[in-house]
Amino acid sequence: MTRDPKALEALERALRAAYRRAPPEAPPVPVEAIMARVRRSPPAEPAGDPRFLGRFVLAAAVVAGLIVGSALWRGVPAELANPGEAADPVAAVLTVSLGE
Amino acid sequence: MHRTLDRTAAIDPAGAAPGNGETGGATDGELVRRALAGESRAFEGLVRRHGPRVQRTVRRHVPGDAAQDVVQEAFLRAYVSLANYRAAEGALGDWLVTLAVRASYDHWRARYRRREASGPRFAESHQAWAERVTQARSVEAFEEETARREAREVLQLALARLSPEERLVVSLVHLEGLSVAEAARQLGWSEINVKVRAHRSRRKLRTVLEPLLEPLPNRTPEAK
Repeated sequence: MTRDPKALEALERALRAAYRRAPPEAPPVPVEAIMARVRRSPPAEPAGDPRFLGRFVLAAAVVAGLIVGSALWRGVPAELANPGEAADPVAAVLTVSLGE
Repeated sequence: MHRTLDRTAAIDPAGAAPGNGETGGATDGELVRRALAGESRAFEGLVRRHGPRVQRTVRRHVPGDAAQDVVQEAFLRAYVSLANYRAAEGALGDWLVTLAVRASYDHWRARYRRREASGPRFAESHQAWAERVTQARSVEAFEEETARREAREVLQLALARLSPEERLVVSLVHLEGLSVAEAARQLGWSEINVKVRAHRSRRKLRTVLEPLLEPLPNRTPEAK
């Protein structure tokens, strides 16, 4: 197999030149077809601010952290240590984390 | 937000008369605002204004028979995500070119999924062309060879041997001559990713091209 780097570089240069030549016989831009598809598509909607979603997720994480942290600070309640004995484990967690 | 945009368009003294479909002296920003307010003729104005550039971009990456579909797809994406366009981040034309490049990329991914990308291999005429172009003794002779049909055929056959990612990155960085940063912006990849892929893709392209530089079969006995 040929391993002539100069020939390979010349070939690459030639392909680059071929690539940069304008493609032949470019047809007109299909404006009508584009607009027909645009009219069939849902209307353009202003995007939601991605920063809002980020802040929402951050706030949710902080609240969840506070609840869990509070529960750990107060100690694991007996109801959770023996969930089978708790009438309502969810209520037990909320009671412990949010207070009476 | 729609109402705000609508009101802005209505009081904009530089805005063209709404509903006439002509861009007139309206800026891209004004047309975008009017399109977002539901005026499809304003978007048509953007298509007419930027269509040729988008089409040129697509035709560099996609064969002529598929280019029209990809151009339509790029503009449809532009319409649906028009609100994501931020004038402060660059000109509308550049944003549309980015969408066109990504639509071209998706076109190749779809073709590869359908296994339509692999085509015929190089012919002897391509080998003969490679020999002539690599041995051209003058700029004129070299230019003449690059204008031949074989040049575009070799280019298409070589690119067809690359994956969609390799194809796009080779086209943008090595063939078009974009900077890594610009290619990264158009492809939506990190600069490191583009740099690594550009290096690997070029190596693969060279591997693909090497058989073209082998001696032609009818000349092999002479070479021995």
